[in-house]
Amino acid sequence: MSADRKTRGAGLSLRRLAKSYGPVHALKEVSLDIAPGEFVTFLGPSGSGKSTTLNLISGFQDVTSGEILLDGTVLQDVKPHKRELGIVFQNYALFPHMTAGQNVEYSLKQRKIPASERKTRVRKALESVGLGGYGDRYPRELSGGQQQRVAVARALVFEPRVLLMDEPLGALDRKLRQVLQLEIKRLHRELGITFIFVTHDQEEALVMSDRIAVFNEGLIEQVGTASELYENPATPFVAEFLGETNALKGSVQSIGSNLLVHGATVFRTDGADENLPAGPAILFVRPEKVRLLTEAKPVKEHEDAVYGVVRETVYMGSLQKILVTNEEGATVTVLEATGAPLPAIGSRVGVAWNINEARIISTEQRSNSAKNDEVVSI
Amino acid sequence: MKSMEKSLRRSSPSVGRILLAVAAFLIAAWMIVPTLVIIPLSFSSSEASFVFPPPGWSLALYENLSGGAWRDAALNSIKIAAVVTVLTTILGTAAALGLDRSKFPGKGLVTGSLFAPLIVPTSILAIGIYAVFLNWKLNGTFIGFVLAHSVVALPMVLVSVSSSLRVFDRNQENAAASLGASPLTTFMSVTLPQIRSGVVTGAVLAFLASFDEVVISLFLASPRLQTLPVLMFSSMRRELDPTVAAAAVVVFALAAIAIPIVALIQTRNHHVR
Repeated sequence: MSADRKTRGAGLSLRRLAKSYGPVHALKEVSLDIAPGEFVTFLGPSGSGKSTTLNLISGFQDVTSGEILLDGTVLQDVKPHKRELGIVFQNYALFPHMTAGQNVEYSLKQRKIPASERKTRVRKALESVGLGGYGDRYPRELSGGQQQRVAVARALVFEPRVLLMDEPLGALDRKLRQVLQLEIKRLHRELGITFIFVTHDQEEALVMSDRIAVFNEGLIEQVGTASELYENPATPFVAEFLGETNALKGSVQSIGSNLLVHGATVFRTDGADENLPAGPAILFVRPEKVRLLTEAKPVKEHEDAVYGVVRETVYMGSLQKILVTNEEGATVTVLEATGAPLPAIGSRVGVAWNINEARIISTEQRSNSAKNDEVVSI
Repeated sequence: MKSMEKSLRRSSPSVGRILLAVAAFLIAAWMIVPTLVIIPLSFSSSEASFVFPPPGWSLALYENLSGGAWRDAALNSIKIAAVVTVLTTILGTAAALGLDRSKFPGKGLVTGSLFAPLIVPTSILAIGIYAVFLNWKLNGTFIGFVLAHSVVALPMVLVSVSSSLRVFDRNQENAAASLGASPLTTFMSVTLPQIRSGVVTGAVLAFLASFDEVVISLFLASPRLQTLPVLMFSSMRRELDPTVAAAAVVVFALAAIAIPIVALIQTRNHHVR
């Protein structure tokens, strides 16, 4: 069943896609292949080009250069209302003068579907988002979460092969967001169509996506599964945007080296990266991979350590955080399960991590290409 | 809770609020009472001249109004205003949409010139129109009146439709497109229903602007074609025909009916939102 359902989605390819407004490059050059039925999230801060990309796909803005292909056919010359893409808007954009049912029915009317069939399909669509019986309510009579569900039902009722969602959960509170994240995931699984989800919330991206494309300054920094991006970030931006991380600045002395010189210390990683250039670089290690050194558990052979002063401790329920600042002024955060005694603020401690958890990323590679052009947030 | 607070506040108004109400009432009375004098005058039995209070009551003046030159002038006014309303409502709405949607060099200039008739003294406008229409042989013609009145009526529609477009969420048009609606269908089914109050308000104001127009009309009028305000004006100057009081009441009544309609449309629209 799932194999048969998977074929319902359409593949989407972006080929060297670019958008500029006069001298301003909102989108410099983006290439991405999205497989039929895939759930891809465009993740990035505001002004990174993710929403511009979505607007180019939906046809609300004109492509400056490059191509958009839907199942191999060129899409950018097709008028927006002929593209057959389901879209959920950031503020839902429900029609306030129509009931929820009429909103959902709208696309079916445009397609001249007979009234009796429209009625059943509207009912089913509303039921599929848990709003059976709400068809006669006006948008203003619905809560934010219910409006969001109507927007999803409206975008799906005409059975598009691709669903685009532009920060659809942005206006909702955290609890509701989590519920709806799982519901959107379920809809994706059941429908088997291609989902493109735009968000600036990295947690949302991690929870829902098959793959995440990280946007920054009009370019895609990296595309990959959540774990690929989290464990092997390709750029400093990806490392810092996804989850919390410790960044220790230093320099790599020779090409392909696995060592980072940080003040008087040298940090190691487990393997050399042949592409790593010599020069300024950052060593990244996730806070949950760092541990506090104790007398019982001193630093081991395959570990690197930082020694410094405890600047802050934070109790967070199931987890606790310890911030240690070393002599170079760099701060390393330790995230551990609660239970272990928290060190006193101001006391001298050591923290360590297994060298195979550390990544060295050059800060030179990308910043050069990114700085040449001006970028403006849209 | 909130409504309770409100009703509490209403039951014990402050001194300031009472003074405000009194002041508002006095100003309104000062503005309206003089115009109300024409109502008893229009029912006067004296056909000779204005006498206040009227010596007796009759509908004679209204009978005068329903025949001859007065009737023709009134019908002319209504016909011209009707055509002006249709014309400026369509053009004004289109212009408001165009200005709302587009960015082009000189947009400020175009906007300014469309609103100019609101600012330029009407007498200057009238002289200009008169001079040009003399050339085009439009003085004293129905089309001439329609075109000239449209100049002053168009800004009414433009202002009113523009302000309702300002609160309209354009994303809805993108949503309609994504659902398969063509731009025309989108306008008819999504945009127009939501800016309807602005369009209707603009239409009513455009009708009144044309119906009440005196200055330009005085220049354009010919013995064969004149409007009600023109006849009122000239009859006052020549013979002091008290029928003008009845005519004034008709014009006054039209405005008095139109303004509550506009207010009603607008409150109802707020309710929908």
